[in-house]
Amino acid sequence: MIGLDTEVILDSSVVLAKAFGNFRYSFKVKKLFGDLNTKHLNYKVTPTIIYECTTRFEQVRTFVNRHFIHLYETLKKSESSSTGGSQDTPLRKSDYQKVMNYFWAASSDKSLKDTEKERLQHIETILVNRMDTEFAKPESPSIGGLLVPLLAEINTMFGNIKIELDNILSRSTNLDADQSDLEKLALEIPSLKNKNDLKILAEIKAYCDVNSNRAIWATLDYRELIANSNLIAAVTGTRCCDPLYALYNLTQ
Amino acid sequence: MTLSTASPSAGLPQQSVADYLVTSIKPNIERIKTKIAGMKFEQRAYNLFSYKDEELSDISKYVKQERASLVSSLPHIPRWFSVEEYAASYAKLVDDLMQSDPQLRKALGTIRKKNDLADSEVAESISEAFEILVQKAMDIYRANAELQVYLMLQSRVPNNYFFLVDEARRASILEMAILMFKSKRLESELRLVYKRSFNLFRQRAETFRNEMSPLIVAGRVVSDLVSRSTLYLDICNSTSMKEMWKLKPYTMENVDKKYFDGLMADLRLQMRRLNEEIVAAQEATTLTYKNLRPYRVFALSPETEDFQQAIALTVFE
Repeated sequence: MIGLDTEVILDSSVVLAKAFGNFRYSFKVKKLFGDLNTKHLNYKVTPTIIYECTTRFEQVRTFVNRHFIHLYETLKKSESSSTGGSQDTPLRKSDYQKVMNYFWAASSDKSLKDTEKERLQHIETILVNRMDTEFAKPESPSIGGLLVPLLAEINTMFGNIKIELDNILSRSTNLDADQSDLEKLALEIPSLKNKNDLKILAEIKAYCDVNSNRAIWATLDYRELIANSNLIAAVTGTRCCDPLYALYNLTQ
Repeated sequence: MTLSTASPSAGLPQQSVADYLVTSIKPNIERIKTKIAGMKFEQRAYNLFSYKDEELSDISKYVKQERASLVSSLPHIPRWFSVEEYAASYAKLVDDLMQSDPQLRKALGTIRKKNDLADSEVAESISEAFEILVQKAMDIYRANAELQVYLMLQSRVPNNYFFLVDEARRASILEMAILMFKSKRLESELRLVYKRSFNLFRQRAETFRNEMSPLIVAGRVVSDLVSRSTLYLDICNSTSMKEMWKLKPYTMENVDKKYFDGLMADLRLQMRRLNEEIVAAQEATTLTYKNLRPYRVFALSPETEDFQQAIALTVFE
């Protein structure tokens, strides 16, 4: 029998994996949502989880768009002397070299994180793939003809992700963390280094106090949260678990 | 794609028809009493549905009134701008849309003539109209996806404007789809209960109105903010009425940054509210994920699906 007084709180790692359709975790996340659905269980997200998810989504979308805009400017500018640098500027074979140089320079930025460098490689791959397709066509390609449809499709993809994200994030606990709880948690769980994790725990506590229930925090963060699961449960009563074991934990 | 042939406001006339349609449902605003970040949501909703107790006006008159009220809400209107000319040109776009679709024209004619939600013919016309509008909204969204990217690449305004407008259009499609499914259900319910009890008949229509009101109001507020921000950018980036309707790159040169940022912050906030109402309406109407999937997830090429998978792996740090 599943305790009706227990709710599942989704961590931002789970929400983002679901919204982005991350295949590395898709089995686990699918099982969690399947369990919630079949058992008619509710899930919630806290204000900090909403903030983390929307911020991360915006970072990724802005990152991709910013590089497409820069590429558009770079390719257009280099041809401006002959054609005025419009979107109709023809795409030439020599543009492969410019694209390669652009990504080489962008990846050399030391302030970039590894995940951002990886992201750059994916943008480069989809772009070069599309260039190959454009050059295989009988008509001569243009810079706008290459970048505009590609970015339109990518933004449709981001639209799909955002609508999924908004759907998940609409179930907010709507309760902020109590400052004194936050300070207490920082002292009692010193192994938790991420301030946002402490804030989420305090928000979960506020929610559980108001609703007189307990919560399970489904997360894919093994290093910080699941590794400290016993201590977190002892201090707050909230158990952090892998999405696979959410149902099991609900029955405890 | 040429700079002078398309209007940046593409898609808005069809949204105006949808706004007219939800006005005809006469949402129950009294039930929606929320305050978001100190803003009086209810008061704004009242303003947007100020015709709700009157007889439903002709769509052309409604659109002209709505556009005039939109213009009057802007902080600065240049001398060259003519409200009458703008409202008339906009009404003409809506009229062209109606002329191109006799089925939509007929459905709206029935709604206006009978003007009673508890009439199964009206419920049928509402669901028919939403079915047409949601399809049109999806077609226009797809057709304009490249236009929007082109505008973003050429413009010098924060990308967030384009992202937010895009999200609002997607949410509006989902809202219309929910209203379509729900009004279809209402129509069949009305046909079933008609012979049994007149009171039950009225009750069903009232339940529909109550259940859908928060969604309708939240959607209408978002649609108003999108129209207002687009119109504001169009005015700030034009020097004549003729230029208003041309596709042109946006710059922030003549834009009151504080006002524009306020509009964007408000839109972001109201979008959150609309998303909450979409989920609540889905649950209230027991619509399944499968029902709404075509309106939620748009098809991508295999290449972009691969890209999504690759990008998904870079989201975690």
